[in-house]
Amino acid sequence: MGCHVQVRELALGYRWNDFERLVFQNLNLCIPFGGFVSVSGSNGSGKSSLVKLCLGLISADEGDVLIEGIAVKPGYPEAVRNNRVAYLAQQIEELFYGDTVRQELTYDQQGNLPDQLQVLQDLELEHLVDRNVDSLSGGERQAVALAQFMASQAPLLILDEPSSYLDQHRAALLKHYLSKAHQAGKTIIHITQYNAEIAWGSHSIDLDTDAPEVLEL
Amino acid sequence: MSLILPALKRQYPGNETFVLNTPEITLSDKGYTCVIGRNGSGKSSLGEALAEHRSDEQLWYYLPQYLDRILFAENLVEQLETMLSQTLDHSLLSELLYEFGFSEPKRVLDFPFILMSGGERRRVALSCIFYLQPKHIILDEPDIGITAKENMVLLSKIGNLKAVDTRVILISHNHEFVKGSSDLICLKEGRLDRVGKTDELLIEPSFTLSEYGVRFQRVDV
Repeated sequence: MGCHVQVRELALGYRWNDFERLVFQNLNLCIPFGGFVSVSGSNGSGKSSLVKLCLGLISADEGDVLIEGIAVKPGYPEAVRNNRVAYLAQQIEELFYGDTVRQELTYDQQGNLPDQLQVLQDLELEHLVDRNVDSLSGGERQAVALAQFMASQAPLLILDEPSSYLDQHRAALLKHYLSKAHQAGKTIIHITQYNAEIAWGSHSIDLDTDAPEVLEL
Repeated sequence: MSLILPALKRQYPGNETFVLNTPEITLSDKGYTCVIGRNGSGKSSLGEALAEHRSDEQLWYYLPQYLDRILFAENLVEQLETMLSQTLDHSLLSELLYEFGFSEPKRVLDFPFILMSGGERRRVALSCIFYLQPKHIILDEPDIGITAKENMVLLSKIGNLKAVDTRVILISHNHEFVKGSSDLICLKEGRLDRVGKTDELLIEPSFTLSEYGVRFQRVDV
């Protein structure tokens, strides 16, 4: 089975004035089609950086990331725009574009509003649809982003610590959704640092101990 | 002496349906208080409203969920020097950073926030608060992005604050935090639904934590 996501000889560091932080060196990774991979590691081990590289939000110093064999271009999250990747961020505050929840849901022209509304209902959030996004609580923001995410038809799902703000009910719905998506053959990359969540996946990578070795799942 | 929280009201532009409206609340004389409730019940609104409430007896320091709102400086030393306008005790600060899991704390002192991960920023912000030692602290979902081990450090440090009469209000879905609290403030749709001593509420047959969104294991649901 080929790699849905392939990381090749990746090196990444961050620099600010005289400070430098090395995150990855010679990281190689192959996540097969249909794999459900939990990525864990301590703070600063590069969990969120790996996601940003996969999305093209940052560029690597060396090496590259391929999705379905196509190199991800930094600065242009093409796969997300083409609905090939659905992304649920750790920090939702930066993600909203619309004024109201309805506008936010329709912002992505490729999104399916009825599906999103159905998911909002499943998440018991239908009362939020005409609310101003600025007035949402942290948990509500994450839940609205979750509704967009869960309604996506993308074959690759990338989640960065998605349950941080969710209450019991919505966290349970997320777990159930991911289980169903995995059964349906979607590829899932789930960043988490909680042991119980690591067990949701069929494979796990610990960036503290596994990197920078070659990982073939 | 019991702690009395003032009656609080808060409304947001663009949201006519949600109003935080809580009465005066009397809490135990010791220990920390947990505010619980499902997403959107008004927990953070209560924290923000309390922090904005001006009173001679209570001046609450609020650590929000989104740290970009408070980590305004380039690094920790610059942040604290700006806030305190005095020379810092680097040794004490390093000790706190070490407790919160930084193996090389001295390196963190002037390390740019911009190069830190979300979890590292959270731990730096917590170290900052324990360095400042305000008498009244509100921590809004302080466990986001940090490990179970660091959560235990946080709980232990909050427990130690009892000795110096510092009062803490913790907003959280985390059962670990809830079960160690002395009081619970339970919110629904911006209203006070229940309030009382935690141990008394927990033995009431009609009271369930899941009704207020509390997660019994951090993420295994």
